[in-house]
Parts: sequence; structure tokens; C-alpha cells
Amino acid sequence: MQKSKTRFWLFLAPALIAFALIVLIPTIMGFWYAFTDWNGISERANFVGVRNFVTIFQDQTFLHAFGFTALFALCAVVLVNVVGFALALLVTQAFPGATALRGIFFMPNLIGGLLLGFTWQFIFTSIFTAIGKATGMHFLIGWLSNPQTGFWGLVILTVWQLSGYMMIIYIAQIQQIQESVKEAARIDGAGAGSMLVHITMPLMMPAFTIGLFMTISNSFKMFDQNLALTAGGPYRATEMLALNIYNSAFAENHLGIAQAKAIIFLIVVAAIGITQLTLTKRKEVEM
Amino acid sequence: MENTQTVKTGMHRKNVTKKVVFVIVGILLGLLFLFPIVILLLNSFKNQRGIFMNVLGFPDAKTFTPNNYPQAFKFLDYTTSFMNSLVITIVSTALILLVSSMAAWVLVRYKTKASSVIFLLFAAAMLIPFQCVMLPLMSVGSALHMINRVGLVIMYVGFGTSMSIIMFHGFIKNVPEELEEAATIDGCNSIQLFFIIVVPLLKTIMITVAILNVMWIWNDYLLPSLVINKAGWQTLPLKTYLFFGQFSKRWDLASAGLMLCIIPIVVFYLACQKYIVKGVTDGAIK
Amino acid sequence: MKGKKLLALVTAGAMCAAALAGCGETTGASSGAAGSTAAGTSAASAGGVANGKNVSINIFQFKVEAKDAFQKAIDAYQKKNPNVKINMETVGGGDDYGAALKTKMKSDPPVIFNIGGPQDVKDWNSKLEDLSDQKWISHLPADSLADVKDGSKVLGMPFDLEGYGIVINRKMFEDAGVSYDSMLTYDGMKKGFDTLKAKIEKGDMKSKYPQLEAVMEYPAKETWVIGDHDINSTLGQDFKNATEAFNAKELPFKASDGYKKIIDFQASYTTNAKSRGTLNSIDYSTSLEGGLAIERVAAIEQGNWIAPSVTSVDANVLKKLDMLPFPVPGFSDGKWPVGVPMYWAVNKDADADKKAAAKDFLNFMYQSDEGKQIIINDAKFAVAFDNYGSLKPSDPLNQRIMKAVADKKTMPGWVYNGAPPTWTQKVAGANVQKYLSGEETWDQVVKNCKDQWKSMRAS
Repeated sequence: MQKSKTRFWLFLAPALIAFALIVLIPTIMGFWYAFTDWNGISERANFVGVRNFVTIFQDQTFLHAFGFTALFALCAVVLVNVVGFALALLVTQAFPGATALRGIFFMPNLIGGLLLGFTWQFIFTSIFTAIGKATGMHFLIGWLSNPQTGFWGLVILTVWQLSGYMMIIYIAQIQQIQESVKEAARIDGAGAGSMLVHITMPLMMPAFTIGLFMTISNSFKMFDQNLALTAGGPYRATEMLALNIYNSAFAENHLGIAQAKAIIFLIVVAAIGITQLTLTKRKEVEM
Repeated sequence: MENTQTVKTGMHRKNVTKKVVFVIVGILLGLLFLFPIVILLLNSFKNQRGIFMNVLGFPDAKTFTPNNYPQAFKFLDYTTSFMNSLVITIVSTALILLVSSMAAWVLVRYKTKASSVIFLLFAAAMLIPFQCVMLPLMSVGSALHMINRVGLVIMYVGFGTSMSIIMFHGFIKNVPEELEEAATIDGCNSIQLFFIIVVPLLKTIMITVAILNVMWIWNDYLLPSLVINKAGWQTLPLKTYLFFGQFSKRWDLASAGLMLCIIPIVVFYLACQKYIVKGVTDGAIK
Repeated sequence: MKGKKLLALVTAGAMCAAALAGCGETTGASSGAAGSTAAGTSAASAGGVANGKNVSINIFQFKVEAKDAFQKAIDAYQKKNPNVKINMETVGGGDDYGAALKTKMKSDPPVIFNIGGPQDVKDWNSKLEDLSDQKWISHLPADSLADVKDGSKVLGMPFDLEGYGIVINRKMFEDAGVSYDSMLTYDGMKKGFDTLKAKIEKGDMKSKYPQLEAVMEYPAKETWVIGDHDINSTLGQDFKNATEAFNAKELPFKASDGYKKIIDFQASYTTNAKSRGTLNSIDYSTSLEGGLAIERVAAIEQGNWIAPSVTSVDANVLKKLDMLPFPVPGFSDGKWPVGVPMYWAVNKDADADKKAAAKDFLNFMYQSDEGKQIIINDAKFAVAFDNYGSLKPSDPLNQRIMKAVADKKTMPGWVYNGAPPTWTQKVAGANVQKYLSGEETWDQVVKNCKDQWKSMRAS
């Protein structure tokens, strides 16, 4: 088929222009600040070379936030996608209430920010304590007061919130492949289990590519949930990267340092994300 | 009656058991997911004292109050804020759907170097935390006179394209190209080709992407808080945050207010669900 | 068929979007036009007013609790000065005003905004209008402006007067046989708290106060409580005011033992006295609305700003409250930390007539009879001005602060504003959390606090 270059750029232009204006240019401007001592307020910013980058690698809080976020992302990515895919499989079965369940699983996405943190704080500190005292399960007492429970508190909150989101993405893909392919497989006499492994899963790869990528990016740049649930406490032990960068920029007034952190963050996460995209894409089968 | 039932095949009985299991699992999981929202709902009918005395309990004679809703409604200036949120959400989502599906389509169909670089650029942008670009973005926004509602919509389009393009991209890859080739031979131009041939094939993913964007924009706080600067332009989340002060947080009004913000979007979601389910059945018949 | 229908739908959608976008634009433009015509008519109607030039100013402020009161003042002012249009924006959600202000300055600079202590004065210096020619300055005690002075310039107007201490349910203590006056020192307070603790453990208080669990709650999750406030009195022994702290390269930390004592004191009267690490998950709401205000505990360290919160839970409890001095044993017995936490600032870069209107409005709000009424009765502020006559705040906490001011029994309350940015919360507060959880000894806390102060000042 004859494909014109004009069509390519014409169709791309609106998205590209908006994207360049809103995301690309500000990001590049931000990159420039990384080499200055700008405090976010004054008119002047002095060029300081790579000093900010030297500083951040001596910043224990930043290195800690990096490790903490990476570990968090690992747990969250696995759990969110497993749960999200399982939910999608469940609600695409034909049984009474399946449609209602889609809505229910998705609802956690509708509560944001402060209220989310507040509600879950009550669950972790009050309900967990009550259950712990009643059943003698002592590990349920004192949640969010130390780094370990803070970590798992964040993971639980994220799985609860994001798995419904991933479910939506997986449903779209399941429905796209469901009718045509499954019918064929059923006629061939494949069982439910082997159908899942040999038919559904491989055809789901494009959705897994997207789902994994989106959970990786969401986990690494998590901000609201972190702020609302633990605010980085106790003693900055649960402070994740986005919050750490935010604190540098707006609490400590070191915008240059914050931008340097953002660059390092972006390079590392982009490397992870793009590796994942290439790896999972290789496993995709085009219909 | 009994006879007909025993005559039914084993296959069918297995299906019934399966369904029962699904229903039970579904109810249990549903409760788990709904739990915090149910708490919110219960608390929206309690006074502040009731919330703090027993956050989990049902409202009782001493703590029940129906007044949170009318108060929150008034405080939120609900009709105005709702309309502001609605217009911004609908316009932004419609534009995002349009520009992203167009871009994603050519990005899939043109297997050139430029195409993959641009796609990666869109993808990489999803990794940027908003907090890192907000200061420079406001400088750009101010220079271009975008600190107003039109500017807000453009910003949503800029931020929304990344995720939407990735979603469309993944879907279009699975759409066979033959149909488009045939249409081209029939003499369709680019615009016709896209709107007549491609768009109808995208309807399930369109709705999915629409849901994700609507939800994000409807609930977004930070961006409108930076861009909207006139009383009377505020969206629902902006107003909701005013229940929380420096030292005083009105959880009673906030819970009711939040329910008022959630309801429209749940209705929207359920409506879309119906359409998705219907769309799939249509597809199967075709 | 289907294809056509969908196409129609999509095109309709797109057109609709375009129309709406256009619509948005026209509304924007027309509302702007409407605004100017409205202003025009009002100016015409106010033809008699001198210098009736149309001015519109915007205020960017952080105090959600007082926004209705401020709006009332704005409405009153606009009625008197129809040529001035004031648009107020309030930052909701709590404590990210600093970030919001920085962003706001980039996009749409406000004419009136808020600043805190010396660090803000330094950072924002180029934007701060000198207010030293304003009449209201003569009605303020000199120390209330110490932290916004730059040479002879006065760069901010006090927002309100705040004070803190150990807020107690006075009635509850009296029911336990402990008088307020017996607890004005650390030792007296300890004795009184022990008495109440014993009665709670014996079950003597159960019948009257069924919710009562412990004498105190200690929200160690809030680093502004364990950092800012709890360390302030300690810093107060090293520095006279925030500016002095701001200029200090090193922290003497003379009263660090006192800091430890007051932390141990508060932790020991909570239900988590034996598992102090758990306190790190207790937040402000749990201690206040879910503690003091429902009579689950008898005391918390807080200030006069809690009155609206307590009222929202139980107005009767507010009447029972009182505030004990903040004791750093051996240093500050019998004194309340009181001061001005925030100031109003006027943007130096704004047009001259906007600045004039802004100054005039601030003067109206705090100095006219109408404004004073609003500040005291609607905003429920305590103020540092000496010309408010018989206007007095009505709740017991504000009254206690005003009495402390009158009796000269105060100490500087916002010395911590002079510490290096984030030091109080991210260093002192975080280290105290480690101390409470047993991760660190007190000596390590002291060492880290001093070291970090020094290195933050050096960078």
C-alpha cells in the first residue's frame, strides 16, 4: 500500500504539538535547571556545572528513597498485574453480577489524595490493631509506625487501588481476542486451563506490555499515596523518589538539586521501562 | 421437571457449579474492594463526633445526621463546580481521544525509524513525575497565556496523549490491516480511511481510554489548582480540598462531598460498561 | 450502516468538542468583557469617589479556616470602594502553601500573599514591598515584627497571634481533684498528671468520662509537633528570636536535656507508653478530633488554633479546655510560647495603584472597626495590635494566650522558623521518631541535630 509521509505527520501533528508544548519543553527547561543553583524563586540562576549531581550521590535520603522505591515497584508491579489480570479473567466470565463487579473493582480509583490516606490510616492503625488484639496476631499491631509496615501498607494500598485500573486494560484485550479465538479453540477441544496458557496468555501480550509499563511508571513516580498514607515517615524511611524530589524542590528550595535528581530518576526508570517494553514486545504475536 | 433436569448434560451442571463459585468469589472480593468506600458512605451520614468516636460503626441516634449532604452541596457550590468539571472533562477527553487515536494509528502503520522514536518518546514521558515539570510548565503556560480554562484543556491533552497513545498503539497492532488496504484501493483518502474504516474498529478501546481519562481528569487536583485562578471556575476537587484546612479538617462534610463527586463518575462508568458489553455482543454477531 | 452511524457519532463528538473549546474561549472572553463592563458601571456609579480608577487585585492565602471571614472583609471593603475588585484564592488541603506560592509566582503573580519567618523573607526579598510607612505599625509591639524586618524596612504584616502549650481538659482534672494553678511548672504538672493517671487506671473516671483511656496522646507522626513545636522552647534557650537562629552557623543546643524530658513526659502518659515506637503512626487528627475532643484523652500539646476543630466535634468540650505553659524543665516553667507564625506581604512588582489598594485593604481588614469585628468574631484570631479595645476572642484558649501576653509570661514561639529549611521536621523530628522507636539513643539524636545544622548552614 502506498503510504504518504504527509499523512504520517498530519495525523501525528496535533498530539505531537500539544505534547511538545506541555511535556517536552518544560522537561528540557527542567534539565537546564539541574546545572544551576536556582532556588525556584529568584530571577537569577547561576550555572554550577555538575555540582548538583555530585551532591545528590552523597545525599543519603535520595539513595535510600531510590532503593525503597525500587523494592516497592518490584512488589507492586508483580502483585498489581497478577491481581488485575485475575480480576479481568473473573469478570469476563458469564455469571450474575459480573458487570457490577467490574464497577466495584474499579471504584478505588475514584477516591484520591487525602481521603484515601485517611481511610487507610484508620484501617491500618485502628482496624488492624483491633483484629490483632482480638485474635492475638501481634503482627497486626502498630502498622505504619515502622519502615516495614509502612512499606507493606503502601503496597497493599497500591494493589487495592491500581489492580482495578489494570483490570480495565486487560478486559479490553480479553474482549478483543475472546470471541473469535476462543470459539476456534473450543471447537478444537482445548480445556480451560490449556486455553488460558496457550491461547489467551500469548494473545494478551500486547496488554501485558502496556500493563507492566504503566505499573512500573506509576509505582516509580508514586506521590499522592505516599504523601497521604505515610508522608515518608517514620524518619523518612518510607519516602519515595517523587516525594524526595518534591521535598528538595519545594521544602529545601534546592530546585537545581531536585532537577538533577529528576534526571537520574528518569534515566534509570526509562532504562527499566524500555527494557521491559522491548522484552515483552518480543513475545507479542500480531494477529 | 425433575426429569428434564436430570436429562441435562453433565457439562451444564459443571457450568452451574462454576457460576456459583464465581459468584461467591466475586462477592468476597467485591466486599474487600468496597470496604473503604462503604466506610466513607457510612461516615458521610455521621457528625464529626460520630466519625471520631467510631469510624467503622453504623451511625446511631446520637451520631446520625442527614445534614452533611445539603451542607456539602452548598459549600461545594455544586451546580457550578459540577458544570466546570463536566465541561473540562468532556472537552479534554474528546480531544485526547481524537488526537491520540490519530497519532497511534499512523505510529502503528508506519514502521519507520521516526515512528518508533516518537513512540518511545511518548512512552518515556509517562515516567516523568508531574511535580518535576510543574514549575517550568507554569512559565511556559504564562508566556503563552494559558493560565485559564482553555489552557487547562490543552495541558490535559499534552499530558493525556502519552498513556492514550500507548493504549491505542497496543490495540491497533491487533487490528488486521487488510481492511484499510482494501479501502485505499477503493479510493478512500486518509481522512475517510481513518474515520470510516479505522475508528469503528476502535470502539471498545475508545471507551476504555475514555474511562481512564475521564476518571483522571475528573479527580485531578494539582493541575487545576495551579491553572484555575478565578472564583466560579473551580472544579469539584478544588472545592473538595477546601474542607481541609491547616489545622481543621472537616471529615464529615468531606465524606459527603466526596460521595457527591463520585456519584456522577460511577453513573458514567456504568453507562459505558453497558455500551462495552453491548459492543462486544454486536461484534460477535457480525 | 454501523460504520456510518459511528462515523456520525465521532464527527459529532469532534465537532462538539471543537464547539465546546470555542465556547470555552468565548465564555472566557465574554466573561472578561462582562467583568470590565461591570467594573465600568460601578466606577460610574462611584463617580464621586476620589481616584476612582478601576483596580483589581488578587490575594493568594493559605488559611482555609479563615477564608469565609476574609471574604466577608473583602465584600465589606468592595462595598466601600466599588472601584476595587478583590479576588481571593485559598490553598486547600493543608500545608503545601510554599510550593503553591512558588508556582503561582511563575504563572499569575498575586498582589497579596503570605510569608513565614526569616527564610521566606530572604528568599522572597526581591518581591516584598516595604510597609514601614503603614499606620498600623505603631500599634504593634516591636518584637512582633522582628522576623520580617530588613534594616529599617518592614516586609510583612502580622497575620494573627498564635500560642501553644499543653492543652488540658481543665474540667476533667478538676474532677480528679487537680487544680489548674497547681500545674504551672513541670513538677506541678507531673504531679497532677500522675494523679489523673492513677485515677484512670483505678477506673474512678469511668462513670463521668466513659471514653477516657489515658492522660495524653502524642502524635509523633506529625513532625511539626515533635519537631517544630517541641523543639522551639529548646531553641529559645539558644536564640532570642528566629532571626538570631537564622544567622547561627552552629547550634549550641543548651537545653537538649529539657527537650528529651518533654518528649519522654508526653510519651509516658499515652496508651503506648510501653511501646513508644507505635506513637510514630499517631497523627494530628487521632490526637485532636479523635482524642482530646471526644474526651478520650485529657491533654495534648497544641495551640489556640485547635478551637475550630474542637467545636466541629463537640462545642461543649471547647468550654472545658485550658492551656498550661510549655515546660522545658529548668528553663521555661510558667511561660507560653507565643508569636506571629505568618505575615501578609504585598508584591513589590505589582502596579503602584494595585499596591496602594492592597495596603489600604490590609489596613481596613485589621484596623477599621468593621474589620476588627471580622478578625475577632469571624476569623476568631488573637492579634498583636494594641488598639482592639474591648474586643476579645471568646474561647478559653485564645483568652489564655491574650492573658499570657498581658501578664508578660510569654517566650518567642516561632524561633524554629529560623532553623535551616526542613531541619526542624526532617532532622529533629525524624531523629526523635528514631529515638521513640528505639533505633537511636538520645546522644545520637543530639549529635545528629547539631551536625546537620552545621552542614546545612555550610551548604
